[in-house]
Amino acid sequence: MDQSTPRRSSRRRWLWRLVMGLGLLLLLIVVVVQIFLWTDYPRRIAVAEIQKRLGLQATIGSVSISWLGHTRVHDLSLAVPMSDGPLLEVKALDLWHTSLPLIAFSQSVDQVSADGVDLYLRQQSDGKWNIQQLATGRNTEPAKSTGSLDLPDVTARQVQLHVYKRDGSETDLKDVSIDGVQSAALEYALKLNIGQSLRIEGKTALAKDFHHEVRISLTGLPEGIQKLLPAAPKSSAAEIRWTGRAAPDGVTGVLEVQTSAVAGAQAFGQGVIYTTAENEIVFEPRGFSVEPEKAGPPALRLTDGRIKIGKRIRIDRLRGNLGQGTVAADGFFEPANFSGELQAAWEQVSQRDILSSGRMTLSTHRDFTGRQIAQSTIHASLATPAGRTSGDIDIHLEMNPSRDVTGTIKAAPLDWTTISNRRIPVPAMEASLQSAGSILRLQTLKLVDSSLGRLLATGELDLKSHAWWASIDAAGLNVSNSLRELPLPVDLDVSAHGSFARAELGRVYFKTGRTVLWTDGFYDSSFPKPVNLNAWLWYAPSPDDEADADFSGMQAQAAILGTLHPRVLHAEGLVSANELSIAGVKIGDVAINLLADLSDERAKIRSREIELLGATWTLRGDWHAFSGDPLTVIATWQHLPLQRIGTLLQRPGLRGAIDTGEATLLLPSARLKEIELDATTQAGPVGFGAIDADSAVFTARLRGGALAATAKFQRGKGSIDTVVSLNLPRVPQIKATATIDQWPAPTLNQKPWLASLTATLSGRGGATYWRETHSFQGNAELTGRMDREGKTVGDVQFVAKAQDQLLSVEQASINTLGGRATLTGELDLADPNTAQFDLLFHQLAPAELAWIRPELGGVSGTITGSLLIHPSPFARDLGPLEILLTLRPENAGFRSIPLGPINLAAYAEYVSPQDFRLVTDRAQIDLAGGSIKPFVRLSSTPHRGLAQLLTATLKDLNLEPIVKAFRDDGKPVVGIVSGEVRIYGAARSLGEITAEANLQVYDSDLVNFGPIAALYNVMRAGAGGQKPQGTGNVSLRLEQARLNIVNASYFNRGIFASAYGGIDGLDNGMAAKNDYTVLGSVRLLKDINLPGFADADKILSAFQSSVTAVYVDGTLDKIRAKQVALSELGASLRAIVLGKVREREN
Amino acid sequence: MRLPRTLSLLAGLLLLGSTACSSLRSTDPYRTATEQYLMNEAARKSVERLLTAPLRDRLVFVETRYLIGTTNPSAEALFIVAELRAKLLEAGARLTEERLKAQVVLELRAVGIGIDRLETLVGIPSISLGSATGTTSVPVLSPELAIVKRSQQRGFASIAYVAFWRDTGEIVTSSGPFLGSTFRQDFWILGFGPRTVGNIPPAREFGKE
Repeated sequence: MDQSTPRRSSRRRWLWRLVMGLGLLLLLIVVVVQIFLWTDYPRRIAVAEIQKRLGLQATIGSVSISWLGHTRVHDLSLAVPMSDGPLLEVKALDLWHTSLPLIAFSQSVDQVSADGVDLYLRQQSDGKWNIQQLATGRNTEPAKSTGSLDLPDVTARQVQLHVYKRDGSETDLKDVSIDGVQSAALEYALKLNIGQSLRIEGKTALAKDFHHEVRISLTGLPEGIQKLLPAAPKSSAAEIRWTGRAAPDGVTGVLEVQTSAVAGAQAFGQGVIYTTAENEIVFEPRGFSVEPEKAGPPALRLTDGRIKIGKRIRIDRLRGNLGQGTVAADGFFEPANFSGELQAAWEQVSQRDILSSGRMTLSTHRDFTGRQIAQSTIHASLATPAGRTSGDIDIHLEMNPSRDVTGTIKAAPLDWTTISNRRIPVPAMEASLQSAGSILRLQTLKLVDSSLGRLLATGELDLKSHAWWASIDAAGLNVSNSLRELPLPVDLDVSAHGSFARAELGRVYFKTGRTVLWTDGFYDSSFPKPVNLNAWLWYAPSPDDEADADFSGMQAQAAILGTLHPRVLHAEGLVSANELSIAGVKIGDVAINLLADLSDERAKIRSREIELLGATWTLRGDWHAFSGDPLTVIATWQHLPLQRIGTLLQRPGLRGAIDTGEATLLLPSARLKEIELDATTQAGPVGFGAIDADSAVFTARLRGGALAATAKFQRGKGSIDTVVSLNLPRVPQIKATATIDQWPAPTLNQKPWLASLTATLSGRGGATYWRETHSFQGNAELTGRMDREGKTVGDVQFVAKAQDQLLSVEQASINTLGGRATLTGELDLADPNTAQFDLLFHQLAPAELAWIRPELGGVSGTITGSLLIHPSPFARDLGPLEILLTLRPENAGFRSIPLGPINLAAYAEYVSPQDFRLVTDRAQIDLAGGSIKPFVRLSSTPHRGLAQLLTATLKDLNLEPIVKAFRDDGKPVVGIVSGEVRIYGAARSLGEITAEANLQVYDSDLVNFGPIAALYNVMRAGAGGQKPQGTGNVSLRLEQARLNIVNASYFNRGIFASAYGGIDGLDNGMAAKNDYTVLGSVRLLKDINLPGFADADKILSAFQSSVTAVYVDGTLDKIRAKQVALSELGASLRAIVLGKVREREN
Repeated sequence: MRLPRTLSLLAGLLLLGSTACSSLRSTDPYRTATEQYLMNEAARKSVERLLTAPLRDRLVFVETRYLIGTTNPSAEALFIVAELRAKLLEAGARLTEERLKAQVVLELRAVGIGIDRLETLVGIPSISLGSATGTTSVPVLSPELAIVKRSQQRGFASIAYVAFWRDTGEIVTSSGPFLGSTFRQDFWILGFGPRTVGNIPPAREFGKE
């Protein structure tokens, strides 16, 4: 019974002992563990484990492990072996994990917290980063897929990223915090903040495929990143979303850039990113766009294809849109050896107003010396508002290991086709490039063909500071095949420098022919109006060039101010010409102030008021770029004196003034067929020559190259409408029509006797003129009426037509002077000497023209006859054109002179109005009972002028009616006259005419003829009527307006009369002075017996007793006569007289 | 006693004749003015009668080779050509110096041109007495003793032409020959004179002033 108690106690004791033992063992373990934890072994173990797992060199200051599952690591430092510094430093790392007592059953880390983390990224001399060695050096044991992960919460504070580049620069990225938390059962969320501007949030499923999502929000670059990426703008911002999964076969996801703004461009869109079994990252764009915010390159939108990034970066069938055009690219790049190829093509890519298509190839590789060589060929075609072109450019670049680049650019000859379809070949050019550091230098840009002249362009660009300079120097540039509109050769000198923000145009000198253009100014993007240019233009004509002698010089200057983007430019300038003359007419100095506004959409130009040609002019132009409306230029003018216009056009007869006028010119292009013109101008009283109008309206209309001009003149009830049409610019033909309605004909006021005559014309006509053949075709119908003092004095009908150069008068008639005249015929303008005209007149009464010249009132009777003009029938006729004039007077005469038939044949040869010859032949005029046979020649040559020769043979003219016709004082002068008269010389004045006359008179009685009457009166020969039996002859000679009496003798009434002397100043008309002596004797002088051998006085005395002398002076219309002694005569006259006495014929 | 009076009278007459009958020919040029007038005036009168009307306005080349055959033509021949040319021009013909340009060729010819002289002397003419010294060629003449002396000179010229088409050689017209003449007569009585009449100068001159 009690025996059971000791057993129980023994068991208790052994149980106690066991417990105590276990307790002691546990205590011992605790003590041992604690002692172990107090030792350095945990730190060593941790260091060894880190080095083993990460392959990094690690140091740990201290490690404290608590029994409750909290481990603190102080001064953790990780470094890449053989590196210069640590990769990671952590001041304090706290881990909350399974407590030590339970660690044998479970190992888990619930939370990791790091404070004071410094990550050092160092770039080595070969360009690789130390972290890359970490990736390649670590033991990459494949992770055991457990299907799910149990991740601790992670918190990192005071994280700093230190970046050391190989160039020595150091960048610190501070204020970085990381928070990772398991937000749900199988979901882990991670937040990364860098400062306040970059936030990355993501979450991932901690299950199969690890679906995850990451959002990146960037609102301005953090300071450290700015320093790290200095080219990145501070204002960069982005909202990016990534959704994907990470499966054992790779990562797949969609990258969606919702908004991004980097460097003035916006990028948005989405694309698919996945990895392949070959460890390539593939990006397939699905509408990924990059758009510049400001005016710049066109927006790029990638729509198809893929970019593979692995050991080789491949661009595979990448397609998209560039602006409104399309773009495609294929190629590859191998970073390992920096070699690759790229083929790209673009179609219809529009940049501002330039449309481009083309293709390019780019290949690059690195040769065995380490030089990077790039070769590119570009073929592009461009279409601009100024024209279009296409051409090839070859680029060859080489970059040595120190990143210095040298290269060449060659542009093949290309064609530039202007909008007017003018083809301008641009010669081949080549240039060499070189870069040193950040300096990119254009060493020489020159023409391949040196025979075209010298062109040299150089320049530099500092890619770091963006400073640049450029100069172009060309001398004797002879590109006559390409720029034919320029007078050649061309000299060019351009110097400019600046930065990306400012371009300083130091000098632009352009000289061609006698034209010089000088420009300077700058472009500064910091200014509200960045463009600020000044331009001067000079033109000095050559004094030897008559075509340029219309002004002594022309200058233009302009100040241009505005912006390029958008293009808003304002220009104000002055165009002036010195001593301007047009067609030899001096106009004087002309200055035009012009204002111009230019934008992308519109260009406007206007002038201030211009004083020119005595009128006020204004000009304004307008052009809309996108409306499709053409350039419009409107000119107006006021108070334009037509006299000035007439002087310009060498039509001095223009009178009057234009009141107002306006012309609108539409210029859709430089092609004439597309230019439209509408002009209208009104004028008040105007006149040209003998034509005067009360008003006039002129219009001009140009459509499709056809110009139609009209002119309408109004005077009283009359009007003239004319229309002229022609096709420009070659003007192969000119069409003109005119309609005349009751138009008052020219009054010819300069002729007083026509002042009382009024005439009206009506009719119409039209003609077409062909310039090349100088031929025309047309017709005209005209009727007219002439009135004088209310009485019709004539009416005219005229019908004519023209074919080629043949002008035909089909019907022309005039009823006037109581009769009628008709004209028919034709004239070949190419050969006027084949003209044929028949002018017939019937019973014309010249006396009805007495109102024109009163003398014509003395013409009695009527005249019927014809004037026939035809080619001469015989080759030996005196001219190619025969003129036959036949007049049959009916009871006709001039006062007392009876007029008989007149028949005249003449011949003519016509070359021009200044070169012709007209000569008569077989002419006879029956007059005063006798006849006159004249021979007349009128001729003219351009260098000599007009000359004439007239010879007339007079036969049996009755002197009495002739004298009576001009002096009817009841004292008849009776006689019959025959003889010859000859007149020749220039027709300019009487003083240049020489004339001779040899006349015989018989059956005469000149007792009433002044000189004879005076002689008879002295000699008391009596004036009673006797049978006319007198005879005589006279020889006269006219020289220098003096009529010399060479010989004159007359015998009647028993008295021999002779005369000696002359008449001076016949060019004074009837005021010519008489200076001659009439001698009378009862026998012939030669029959007078004089003493044979007496002295002079005795001879004279004997002669005096037989001769009576009368000296005649005064004027032709007032004769004065007086008897004189022979001794009063001059010695020479006495000698002549006495010579006559001794004259014998044997 | 009678003989000496007769001798003295004869001596006086000889003395008078030796002074009144002097004949001196001094002219520059070689032909005297009288000779030139006699021939040229006769030529003018002959040319004056030529018909020129058919040649009006024709382009005429005057061919003179049949009148002027030598390189030293006589003055009267040149005058004939010039006178005809003047008449052609005044009549309306047009002259050319190039035969190939002419329509008509006018060939000029002369029947004759010259002077006929007739001298009548009542008295003792001048007699040659041989050389004065026998060593020189200067003749020695006795003085002319003329009681009455008359010198008559007549100039004659007769001109004609024919004109033909240059291209065909057919005749156009012809005119002449027409005779033109001039006259001059000088009288001396007992050595006093001359008393001149005629139709050429200086017959018309009065004498000294």
